[in-house]
Amino acid sequence: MNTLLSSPILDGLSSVFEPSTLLCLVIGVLVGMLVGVFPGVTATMAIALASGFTLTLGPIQGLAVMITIYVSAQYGDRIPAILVNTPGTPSSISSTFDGYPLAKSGKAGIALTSSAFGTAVGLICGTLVLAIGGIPLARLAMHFGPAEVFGLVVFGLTMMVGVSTGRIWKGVASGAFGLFLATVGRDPITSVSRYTFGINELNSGVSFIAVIIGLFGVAEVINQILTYRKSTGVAPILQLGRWFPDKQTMKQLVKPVLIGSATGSAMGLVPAVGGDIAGITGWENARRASKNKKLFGKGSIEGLTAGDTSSAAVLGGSITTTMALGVPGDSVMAVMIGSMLIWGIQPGPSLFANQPDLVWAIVTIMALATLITLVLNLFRMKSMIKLLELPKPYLWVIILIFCMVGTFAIGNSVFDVMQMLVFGLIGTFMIRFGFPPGPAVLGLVLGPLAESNLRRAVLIDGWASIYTSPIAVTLISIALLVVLWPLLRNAVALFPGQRNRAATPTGLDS
Amino acid sequence: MNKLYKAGIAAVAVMLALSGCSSAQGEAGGGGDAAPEFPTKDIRLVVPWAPGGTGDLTARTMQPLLEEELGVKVIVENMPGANGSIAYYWLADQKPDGYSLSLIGAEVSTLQYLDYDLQPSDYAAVAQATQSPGAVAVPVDSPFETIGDLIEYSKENPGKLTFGNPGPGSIWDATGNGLMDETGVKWTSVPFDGEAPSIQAAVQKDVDFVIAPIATIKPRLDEGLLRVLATLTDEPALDGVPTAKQEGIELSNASFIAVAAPKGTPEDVLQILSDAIGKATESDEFVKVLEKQNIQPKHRNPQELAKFLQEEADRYGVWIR
Amino acid sequence: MRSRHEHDTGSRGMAPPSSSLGEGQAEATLVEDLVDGASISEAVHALERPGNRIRDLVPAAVSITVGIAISLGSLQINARGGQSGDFGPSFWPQTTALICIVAGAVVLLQVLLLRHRPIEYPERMTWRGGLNVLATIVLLFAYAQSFRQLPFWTTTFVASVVLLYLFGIRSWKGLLLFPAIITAILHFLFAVALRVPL
Repeated sequence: MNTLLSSPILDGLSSVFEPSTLLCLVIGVLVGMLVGVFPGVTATMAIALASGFTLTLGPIQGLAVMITIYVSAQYGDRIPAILVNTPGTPSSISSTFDGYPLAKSGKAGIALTSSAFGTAVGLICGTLVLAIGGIPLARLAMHFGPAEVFGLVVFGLTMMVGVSTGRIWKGVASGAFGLFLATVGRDPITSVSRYTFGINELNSGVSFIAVIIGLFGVAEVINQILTYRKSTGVAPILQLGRWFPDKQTMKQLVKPVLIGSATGSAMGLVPAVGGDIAGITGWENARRASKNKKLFGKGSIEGLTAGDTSSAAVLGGSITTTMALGVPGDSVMAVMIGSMLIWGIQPGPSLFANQPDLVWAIVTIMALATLITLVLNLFRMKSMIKLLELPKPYLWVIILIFCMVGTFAIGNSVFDVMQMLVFGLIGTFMIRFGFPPGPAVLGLVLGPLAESNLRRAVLIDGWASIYTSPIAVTLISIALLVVLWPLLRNAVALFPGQRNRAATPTGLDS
Repeated sequence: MNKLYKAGIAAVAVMLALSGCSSAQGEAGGGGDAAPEFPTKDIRLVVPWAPGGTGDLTARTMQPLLEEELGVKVIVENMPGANGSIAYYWLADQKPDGYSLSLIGAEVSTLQYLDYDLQPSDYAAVAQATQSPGAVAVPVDSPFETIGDLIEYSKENPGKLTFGNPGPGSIWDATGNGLMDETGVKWTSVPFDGEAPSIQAAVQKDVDFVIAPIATIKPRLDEGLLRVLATLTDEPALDGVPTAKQEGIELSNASFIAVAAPKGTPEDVLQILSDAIGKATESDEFVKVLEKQNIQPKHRNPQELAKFLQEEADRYGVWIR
Repeated sequence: MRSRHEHDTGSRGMAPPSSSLGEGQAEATLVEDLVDGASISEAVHALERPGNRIRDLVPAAVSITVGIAISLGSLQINARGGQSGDFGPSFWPQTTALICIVAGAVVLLQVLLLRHRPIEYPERMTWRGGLNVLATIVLLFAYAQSFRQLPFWTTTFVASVVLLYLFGIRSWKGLLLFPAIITAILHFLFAVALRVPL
């Protein structure tokens, strides 16, 4: 490089603006879009496969391919979530909560664009976290040991109430079922097998991807087949509604986008927390702060945008944790660490000090990838929506067959496909009898973190590890407050003179 | 210009791979001398771990080198799950003709003690490729200066010290038990979900020390976040750090990656494969990739590997409980 | 029952936007409400009928049964090593079992005690739909078993043709061309691009 321009920022920038790197960027964008749209094929898997090809490239080019796939998949996976209720990757679980209801009520157009804009803002915020706060924030994450992570997860579990969309107790039952599913397999502390019924595949637990595709995508299709009426055999061409949000909607979206960005950026810093958890948390935080709480889960554009912003903002935080601590921020980063080692990049506290130009190159790659993908997506979405104009039977066949092959591809395992079908049936039962699937997924994601960290904390120093940790105590207190607050408020509202105050519904509706 | 050229080639390679046109390597590499009739068709090499990570990278680095040596296509396929047993059970059921192979790790010797019906004698050992020895490390400001200090304190306070390890029943958890047996002390094992989190727990002082491979400890050592009290090697492996044996603890241990075939595979076929793997692991490309991960190449031929796997199984039988 | 069907027919094509599945609930069927619920618009009437109360009890019963099953299953977990005690491998499953049972009990009480249950009923299923689902599931299980055993493109093609026929597609274009396109896309994406051995 030119010695006059020796600042790390410029070095980083110039290493990205080279034809070879830009070429890699474009390849990454295309692969990522494909990967995102396809249920079952996750960003983790695509990047793992790409790592085989990219080893021969230089670090900047290789990172360009991988990070761009990661970024680009973040847009793509929203599309099937919104249009057919099937999350393209786990990051878009929260997009199904409001995105699909919106699409069904003829607002697919605005849902897709708001989601894409929210994702872009989230990605940029996450990138800023990496660029500005990298080291100090990663230091903060170092205070999170087993006890603190347990506190965080308890706080996360209180989201079950919100994700239940009004059916609180059925939601709790659904969440407990998810927590139970998470215990199938080998115990994280003693390695004894639990609920495996002698089936060897279950030793690695239920397949998370199979569960979410089953509960959301396949269950929705089965339910549609179940209620299919011949007289309405051809699906009406859905109105797309307007494409770009008008001024009023834009204003309405500011708050959820801010909440989502903050939630996602913060959660990304915690090791092992990925876009799936962050998306749901962002959605729930926006719900709590919203004036239109009742609309959440039934087609709220705020909820959709907040969730998508949050799950996208995780990227920056994840990369920060990975680079600054050397601990994988999520499953994608776990794969990328392997490749970085081969390139001679040693993630860890010294990376920011020794190779600041590399950090800036990553920041540039993320920003560029975000913008390119946003533009491509806005152009492409109208053609994606054509999918909805297909008569229902064709759509069902596409979803069912693609989900099956995609699930098989995760681990070359027929057993995973069987699980997906079984969870499709369980999901159908849940739809028909009013159990919300969101809490089950939340339980499945948070369950292993909750159990293993609680037991680790107790192993280390008994219960004292938890009640002597200020962070854990604070988080658990907030969690209790969140759960008890509506009850308290209702109790207050029962006093004479307060009756005219609108009492919010509490746990007494099923 | 050079970079552009390289990237162009890589892009073409990606495209070719993506469109499936990457053809077999021709016959140029030359097969084995002993039995030229093997191999005559594609070989399937299963990886019992998920994509990404050391094991997967080893397989993918070996793949082109093996193709060159053997003159046929080697198809790498991940079959993760259930501590690797899904791949191991699959391998046991394959035809013993040398065309179905799997990478194996120490689990082949240990899984029988974790309620899996699986033993080294179910397989034909082919060759070892790498080894990654372990170490005992403490946070940098730990009061313990030597492993002797640590043992002495533990003798007075049984069960008080906690050690992090990458997972319950993992070979490093087992090594902790081995060290306890050897020195007559008692520690509390705190299993984590993988090597990186267990080492981070030691950095954050959530645990008193960690037993893990040198490969993953080394970066934190270089950054001054951890101190290594002893390496579990036969020869000194880190500057200024004694081996456990030098400190009077007769124990060394390393994780390893090897290749196995179904039981009953003909010995001349095993030998051809073993030679090819030996050449691949000696090549500069392979060594370079390993060095960057702080892993060592290590070759054992079929007979040596078979004996080694059984010895490991006997040893772990006492340590895993 | 009958009168509601007439009501339905009257509102053909005017399905309320809030209807959960938006398909319109036009065709008269003989499905009993015991098997399934009514559409949202009918839910209010349905509440008063005793038959529906049994249906409302299903979620509570299932929650409690699942909770008990988890709890019984946790007895099968044998603790290994010295780390068990009260806080061993069966602690967490037992906790989830307890939550399941308590939640089920609350739902049960709500159904029994509360007069107005704000339950949203899903759109009614049809006999044909039920049979189709049964056939689809059987077919998909068979299709999954065929992975790796039979050539991927043949089984995928056959499976999509059969499914489409089942769902009422009769045109040759739909029955042959469409499955061919799906098979080609999947083959290219997985077998060729991702190199998944299918």
